[in-house]
Amino acid sequence: MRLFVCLAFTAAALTVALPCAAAGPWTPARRPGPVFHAYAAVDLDIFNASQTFDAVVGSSHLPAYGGGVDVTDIWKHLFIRVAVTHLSKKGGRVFVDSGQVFPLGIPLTLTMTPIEIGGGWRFAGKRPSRFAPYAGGAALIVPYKETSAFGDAADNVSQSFTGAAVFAGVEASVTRSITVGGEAQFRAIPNALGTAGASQAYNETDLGGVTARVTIGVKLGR
Amino acid sequence: MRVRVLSVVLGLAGVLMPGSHVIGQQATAPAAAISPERADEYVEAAVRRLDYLPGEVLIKFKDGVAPDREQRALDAVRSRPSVDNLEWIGEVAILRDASQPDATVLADQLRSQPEVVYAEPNYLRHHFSTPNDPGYAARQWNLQAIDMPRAWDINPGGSPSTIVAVVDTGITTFTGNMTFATWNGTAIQNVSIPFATNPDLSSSRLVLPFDFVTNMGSTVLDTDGHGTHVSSTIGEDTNNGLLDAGIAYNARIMPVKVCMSYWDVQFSFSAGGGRGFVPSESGGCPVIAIGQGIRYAADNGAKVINLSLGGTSPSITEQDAITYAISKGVFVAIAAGNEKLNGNPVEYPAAYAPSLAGVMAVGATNRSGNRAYYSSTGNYVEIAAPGGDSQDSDQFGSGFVWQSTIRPSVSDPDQVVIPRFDLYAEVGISGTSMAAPHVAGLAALLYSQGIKTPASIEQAIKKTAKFMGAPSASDATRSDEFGFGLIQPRTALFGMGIKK
Repeated sequence: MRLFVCLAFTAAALTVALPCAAAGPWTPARRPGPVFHAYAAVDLDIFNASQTFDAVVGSSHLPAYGGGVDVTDIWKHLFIRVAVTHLSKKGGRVFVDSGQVFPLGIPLTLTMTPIEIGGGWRFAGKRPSRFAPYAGGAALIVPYKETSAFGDAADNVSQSFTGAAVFAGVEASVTRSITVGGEAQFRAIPNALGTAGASQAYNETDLGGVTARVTIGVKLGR
Repeated sequence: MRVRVLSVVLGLAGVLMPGSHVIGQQATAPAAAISPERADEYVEAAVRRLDYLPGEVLIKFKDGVAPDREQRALDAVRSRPSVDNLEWIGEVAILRDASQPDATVLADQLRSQPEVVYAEPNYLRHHFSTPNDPGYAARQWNLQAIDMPRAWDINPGGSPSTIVAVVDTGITTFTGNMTFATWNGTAIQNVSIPFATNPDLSSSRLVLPFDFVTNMGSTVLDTDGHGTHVSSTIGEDTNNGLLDAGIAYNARIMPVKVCMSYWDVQFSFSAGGGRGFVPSESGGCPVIAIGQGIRYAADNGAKVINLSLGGTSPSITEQDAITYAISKGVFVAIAAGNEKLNGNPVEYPAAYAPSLAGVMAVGATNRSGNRAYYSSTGNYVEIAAPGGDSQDSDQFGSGFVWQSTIRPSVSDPDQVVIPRFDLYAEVGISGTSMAAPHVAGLAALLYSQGIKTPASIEQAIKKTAKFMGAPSASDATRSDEFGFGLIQPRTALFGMGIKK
């Protein structure tokens, strides 16, 4: 289901982008050299471990905020990316038995700060266009914290996990230097969960899922 | 078929409580007692070392059986008792047949009748208390052993909305004097006996008491001390600078008396004109009263029941009542038995536990964290908790479980001729009777924390237990000595996050 959402989001972005590209009269001037595209991002993370997140923090659909830099046109249409987002959500500890969830009234705070390091390819047409579809992949480093009331160092979690993401999206130039964009990611962070806690009760081991991202950014260098 | 006692209390040490309370005596109340014939049954059971009340059988007829068919079934008994003389307790009828004291014979005759679902003797469950020397030591090692202080950080004593029923020898709910006939060594004498509530268990926390063995109704008198000790482990008043601490010290306690103490039998025996002292082993807990008590507790809002009693014969009456309690959302903690060195027989009602989600059979650990030497073992032991151990103790009794209860020096039939039940002290006792209320107290905390079903309370306790002992051949996740392990209240209350 989440993969379907991801693909649908990407397809929709490309479908919107390509006809516009064909019809667009706007022709930005091209200059040689890389372009720095810095952006702020608002994510909606939809976790694979849906039962676990539903039980503990009340939802498996959580917003995250952050930003990144894409350096485009390094070689032809290749770009590289570094992005960071941050998610924080308050919930409560539970006991899970045979699928039944018993909230225990013990506050818990979850924070995650995924760092993406990767790159991709922009699918530019032969004619200049304000829309630039792209796709790529990234390595993920995910600092993860889970802090509970009454918890001590042994109870709380402060750990980093690694994983990977593939993404696709479209960037639209609003002006010569201002952009907006939409992107979908599929993230895999295997074996981060499932050894204890609610994730063990639900046998959910992957901290990844689908991320829908909206960006607003500026282009520098061209 | 003989039943042996389950709950052997291995040692008891009483110390005088500094500033022991003598509650102001109030108006004298009339004494009440069981009938002389009934008292004789208890005496005869003690004399003949029977594990049932002689001449009593519990009968459950099939649904829809008409009285004439019930009479036909009763005609199978040699004395041909009349159906009109049966005493009915819910769906169970009690047949009393003085002409055939061997209740196992009566039960066998009736069991084979087509109208009968089951017939069984009215078994007596037991627990014994033996005094020990008073002493000093770090008394409540048991609560440290299960990390209760950190558990109380999360849940300080549970909630008054959680009711724990102590189905046992009772917890005294009356302060004042009552007159009873008793044997003073030379003659029967009417004696004014003082009673008082436990000063370290607020009367406001006692709810809906009921006595199912001595016809006292809602006035419950503990003339043994066992029920009071058990209730103190569950929820003795805490942080009040008096005596000891209890686990769920905000929970309310329902005193349900189902056991006749020595003194209950003596008073009734003397009231009926019986001369002399009854045997020291007199008393016990008839399974019909246990069944009534369990159903009463379940019907009146209890969410946890503690059963620190047992015997070696199964009882359908008792099992049905426990099943009923679970259906009403009640968790049941049961002592696993103290008979390891006496052939280690299977103990009931503990042995029902593995087949009933929401019921746990509790074995005992000692101060060193090992199995208490007496603690019964087997595939029905599901969990372990501190129960104390005289062989892991010292001259001060530091290895026992210490809680407030009636002071033995003024109530123990081995020490006094005329007892009083208004003085309380810290008393050290050991047994799986003491282990079970640790689990009952934890269950009350878990209920108040939000785990509302008995099966899930059992799972929370099991899954967070600290595994001990050798894995069982049939199930490597448990051992026959400790079940799933030693309870970990703090871990159970802390529950689950996402990753931990």
